[in-house]
Amino acid sequence: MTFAFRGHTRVIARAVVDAMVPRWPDFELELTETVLEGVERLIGGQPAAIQGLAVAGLWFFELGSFAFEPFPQTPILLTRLDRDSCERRLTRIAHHPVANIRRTILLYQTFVNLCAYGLPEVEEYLGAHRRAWREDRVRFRALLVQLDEGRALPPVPLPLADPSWVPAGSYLEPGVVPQRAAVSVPKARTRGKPNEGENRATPMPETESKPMRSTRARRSTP
Amino acid sequence: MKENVIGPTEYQGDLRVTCDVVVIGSGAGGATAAATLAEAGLEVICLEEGGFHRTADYSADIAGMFRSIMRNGGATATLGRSPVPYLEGRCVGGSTVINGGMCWRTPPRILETWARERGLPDLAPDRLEPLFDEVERVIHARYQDAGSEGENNDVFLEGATRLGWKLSKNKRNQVHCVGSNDCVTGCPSGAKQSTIFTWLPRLWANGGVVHTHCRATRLLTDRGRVVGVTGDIVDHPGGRRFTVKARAVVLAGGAVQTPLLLLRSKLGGACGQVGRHFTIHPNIKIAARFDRPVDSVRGAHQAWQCVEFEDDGVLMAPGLVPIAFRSVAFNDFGPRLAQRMRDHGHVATGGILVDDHAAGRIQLLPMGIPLVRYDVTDHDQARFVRGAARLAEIYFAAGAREVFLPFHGMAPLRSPDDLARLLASKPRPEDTEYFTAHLMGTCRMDAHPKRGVVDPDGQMWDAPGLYLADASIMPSTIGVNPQITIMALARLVSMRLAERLTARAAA
Repeated sequence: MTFAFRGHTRVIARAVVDAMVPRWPDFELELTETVLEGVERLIGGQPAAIQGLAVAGLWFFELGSFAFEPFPQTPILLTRLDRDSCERRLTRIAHHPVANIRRTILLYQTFVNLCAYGLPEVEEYLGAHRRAWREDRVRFRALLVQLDEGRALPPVPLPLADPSWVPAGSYLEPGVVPQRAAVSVPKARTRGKPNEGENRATPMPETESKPMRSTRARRSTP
Repeated sequence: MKENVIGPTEYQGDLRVTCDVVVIGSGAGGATAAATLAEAGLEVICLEEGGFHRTADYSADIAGMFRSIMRNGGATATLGRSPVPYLEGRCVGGSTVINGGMCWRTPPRILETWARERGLPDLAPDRLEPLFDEVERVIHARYQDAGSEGENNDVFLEGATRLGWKLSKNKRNQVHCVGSNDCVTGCPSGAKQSTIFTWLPRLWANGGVVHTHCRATRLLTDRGRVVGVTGDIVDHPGGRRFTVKARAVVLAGGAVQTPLLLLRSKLGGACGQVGRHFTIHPNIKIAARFDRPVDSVRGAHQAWQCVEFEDDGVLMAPGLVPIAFRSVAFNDFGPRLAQRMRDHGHVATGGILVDDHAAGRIQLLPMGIPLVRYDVTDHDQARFVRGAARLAEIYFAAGAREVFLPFHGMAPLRSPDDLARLLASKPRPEDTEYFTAHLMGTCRMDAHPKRGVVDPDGQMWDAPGLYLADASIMPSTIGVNPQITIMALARLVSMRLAERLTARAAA
């Protein structure tokens, strides 16, 4: 079952996330709901005991965090504070000299940051074009692997790419295309027959194996 | 290569099977053992609690990937003076899917200690060397393609070189790592050679099979001998169960899950060693801000390690991670962090790993609740502080303007003059943010049944038929990334087991 904060617990969780998500003057997107859903997904992956602690932590922030105000005589619930006051109160907890008090906030801090800074919009805003970079690298590597076809791979631990394929200074350039020009093939150290052992993409064992068996494990149920 | 992987949607009802050997876990230890046994002609079933994800399934959605390929969504932590978050893979390939791919052999000084003090001559450096050679060939332990390292590695190299400190070039299990910088959530290009690309194809080629979504809950015994395993089929409605019976059981769930399963099965109680001697090779993260740009997106996770202070048990290394992980390294949130993250393109990140002397413990509380306890010692903490000062020195030598530390209440260092302030401040473990993915020990190998959980062949001293083949059998911490050590030990244990089973069959 999918984990979700319910009732007033969700109100508290929203206030906490709202105080923790990043904001920049020229970044218009409101992240709170998206990040809250991400936090719920991460907490949903935890054992029930941790989920319970996560909920208890929220109620601690709601009911007990006023004690960390400079003037704690008037208890004000966390959810009654505006966003800036809420952020200041949570910061006081995060910087509290007692380690166990600081730790109450660590789970939410970690989850909120992971979710928020992993959002494509935030990555793009910060100039970290991670998704585009991943796609570029998938394409680039496929070209390198193509160039490996039909050649004896250098033995471990030597690097695989021939330096002539792509200049080192261009290796991390987006859109770079490796060229198989003037390929030099290092002589492979083979212990067995040619094209076996270390020079195979999926090396075979050097110890003699028994013939491949067609038997699959015996199953008593279909 | 046909991927011989069976999920719970491919059969009806409970799963009941028999085979020669059942291997629990498909990570560095489990996959190595399963492949070795299958190659010896044995019928092998490998059980994996997580699902099977191909390269195309590794998405850019970090939170989603945490949930799908890591145990507890990647947010488990040890309890102790300071909680130490740790990662465990929960997918076909296990930890090899989520690690940084570093390939370091067990240091000879460690192996000599194991051979001498634990009575394990087969683990001496010269005896294990052929296994290290073989493992490195199988998993493609290679240096990076020239130019793939990226600026985060370059500034580290520059600083350490200026200081004249000794560097070691990393070998990583990769085939054309192209610097996509997304190791932890599954390599998106297929470059990292997890066991899905290395050991498991050998298992499949020899008739072995991987069953996914099988969470082992209890080992089955018959007159004191372990004869199988039973458990739940997870992430699937209907409360289905599985039972696998075999001539031998290989347990490779990792240094946390392996002792927990033994304790749940009430095995290993005689020696009193199960769950003890837990080491985690903890690390701390450091961020350094430069005036010049430092590319935070492109490059390899880690191409170098500084081994100048290896004798002090301290390794320093760059560590390139996606910006979402960097945000966590700053230990802040809200507007202050948002402001800082605008500078991410000028920030280098690195870490310090300490060869720990602490001994944590894995226990099972009433109601089956696991307790993973570990306390960083004051001795190790002093080395963390020294290591942080040295890594800061590297970054200052490379031109850093500010260095951010994981010690609560400590202002960023702004010049090498501040290093004295750091060393004098002596931050406590309680005020330090640690992290780890190198879990070891808990069921250590020893020649004496009172001092260890498994014998030199990897078989449990008081549970014949059960073999352990993962990081749990390491007799001590090793001070380096453990992948190669795990695979070499798993290979050794499974080769011995294969000899034993095939000899028995021949007889």
